Amino acid sequence: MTLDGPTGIVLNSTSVQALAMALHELTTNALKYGALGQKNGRLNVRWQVQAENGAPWINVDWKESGVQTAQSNEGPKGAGNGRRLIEDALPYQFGARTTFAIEPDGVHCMIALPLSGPQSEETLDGQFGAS
Amino acid sequence: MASSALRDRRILVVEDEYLIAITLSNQLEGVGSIVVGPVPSVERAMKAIESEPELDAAILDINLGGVMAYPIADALLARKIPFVFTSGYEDDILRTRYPQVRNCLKPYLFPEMEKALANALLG
Repeated sequence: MTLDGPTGIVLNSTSVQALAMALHELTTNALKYGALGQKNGRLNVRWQVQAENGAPWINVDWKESGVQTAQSNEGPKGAGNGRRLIEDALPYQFGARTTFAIEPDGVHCMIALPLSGPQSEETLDGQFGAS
Repeated sequence: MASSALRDRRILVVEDEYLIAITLSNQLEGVGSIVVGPVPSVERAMKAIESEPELDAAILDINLGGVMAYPIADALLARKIPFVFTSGYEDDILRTRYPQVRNCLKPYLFPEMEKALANALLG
């Protein structure tokens, strides 16, 4: 397993929740079906922070290799919820852009997540409260 | 089973929490509603209100990722589209600013929401 990216990236409560859920799902999936559960499996996680229209985004590239995958791109049985989280929930709730593919040698997932949340905290306008 | 007052109604769902948005949309479709959205933000809700010629009603989460949904409420009122708020807390601002709009407090069971929205549709 290789991890490649800068340390000291500050995540706010919104982005930390999104990223933690995604990494948890990817890790669980890799342990059950992928690179962390097979002898020849390898995992390479790279990340970087880039400015996009003046706002910081984190780009995470999760690439498994050396994995014997199931035939279809439908995902192994049981991976449905994790995949749905990454493909549907992260874009919907956190404004992320994501791709999730089961390639011939393992999962390849890319997540681009705005570090300031889907909407700027500066627009709070003095309002607050849970919803 | 009695036919729901929400049957065949086009209902806009504005809710930033994915799981709630999906659950609520499924429940609405379960009673025969046509769900518009769901949408998670003020911006996308305003677009939906502008681009949907026929909206019968709306369910409006008040706090959308830290942004208050008041502009959406104002746009719905301007178009005379009935709606209910949904919120996790009692809100004095809502009561003062929108005294005629019901706030269906979270957590709610779907029949409560269904009833609140049916009442809003009756006017």
